[in-house]
Amino acid sequence: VKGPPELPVPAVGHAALIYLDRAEFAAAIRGFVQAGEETGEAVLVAARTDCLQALQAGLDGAGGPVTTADLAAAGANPGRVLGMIRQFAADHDGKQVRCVQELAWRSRPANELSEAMRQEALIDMAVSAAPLTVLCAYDAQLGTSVLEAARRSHSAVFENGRWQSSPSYDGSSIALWPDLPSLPVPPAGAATLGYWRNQSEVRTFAADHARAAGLPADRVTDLVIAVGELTANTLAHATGPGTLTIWTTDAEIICQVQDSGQMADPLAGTLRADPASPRHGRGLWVVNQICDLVEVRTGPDGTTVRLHMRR
Amino acid sequence: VEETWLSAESRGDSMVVTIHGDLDIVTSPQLDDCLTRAQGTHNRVILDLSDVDFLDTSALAVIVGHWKKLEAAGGTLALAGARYRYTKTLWITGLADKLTLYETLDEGLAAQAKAARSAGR
Repeated sequence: VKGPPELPVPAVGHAALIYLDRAEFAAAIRGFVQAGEETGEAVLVAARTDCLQALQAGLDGAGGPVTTADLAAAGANPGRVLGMIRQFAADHDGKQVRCVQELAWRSRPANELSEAMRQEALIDMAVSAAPLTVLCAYDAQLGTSVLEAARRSHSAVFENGRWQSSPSYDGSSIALWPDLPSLPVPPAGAATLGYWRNQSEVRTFAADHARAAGLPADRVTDLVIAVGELTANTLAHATGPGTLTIWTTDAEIICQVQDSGQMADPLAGTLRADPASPRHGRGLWVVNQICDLVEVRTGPDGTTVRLHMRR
Repeated sequence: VEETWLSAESRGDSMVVTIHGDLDIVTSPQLDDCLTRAQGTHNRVILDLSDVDFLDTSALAVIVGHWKKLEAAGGTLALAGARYRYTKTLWITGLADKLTLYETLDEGLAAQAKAARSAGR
């Protein structure tokens, strides 16, 4: 099936492609990639294995080099995609680059989709600050709330066979945040520990619960690292103690770190810091690399970071 | 609660700073002080991490800061004995690829002594 190859590619930084089927998806992305190649832009495609395979035939014919990143291999965490995109841009020394990503897919649990929507708001911020064009693919059969969020976080949307500027685009990505569903309250039986400079106790607490949840030794280590980073951030950015809450579901162990600080930079933790830079600020990035899902809610009332690790 | 303690010892051309315990946002200022003192007398420093049980990114920031200062002064900072399981943040952040890492302190001392000789002290 020939899709709509004549599609004009939107000349905006952050565009959403709401596709009806794989053929339309592949055709639109081929057009986007080809347009980039005509202007000499490097291209990154970040998507799941099956999606990359569906694209492969079209991309092979597109000409120049395309870098692919398999999101299945990179792990489930939607918080890693923006890091890949920003790193790709940084690796090209300020030259214009373009990226395709699909991080919202139908089988994703609701909390991962919410986080994906928050990441889209962050991608919109990153796009406005870098020579970067990002095309984000959305299955038209995704839920209406996901698609509505996509129309708000992307200035151009392909829908019903044509590109148009999105009437509900917010302009300010940060505006999406208050709309995010609030995190469900932890269960009554969740274990809690108040913390402030008792880092060693925090680590023992996290390790004990991780082991009780049946995590293998290396994942226990990862969870302890993640909780250590988040509780250290409280000491660095909040004015008083925080609360660590841990519980399990059938599928996951969940750790929540809550404090009175407010995250000043929404893009914190989305780009790997230069290893040779002595500045602080690697913690959240590390957390994103080792956890399966990191949910963040921040505002004047404080910050809650909830991390998930599959059992 | 186990304590974190550090010791510094001059070994030939190098100052060896040995850390026992955990390096985190609470304990890394100790490392900062220790490395500042070490640089008063030596421009070759080896951090012995073989007894480190935890290393967070605030400690990494301290290590990188001193590494850069030593390099700018024509010196070196190397790590010895880091165990992946306990100091995994070195690898996650990519720092393990940038810093000089020795399997053991003895290996580090030998290599540093050789480097000092070839540099004509």
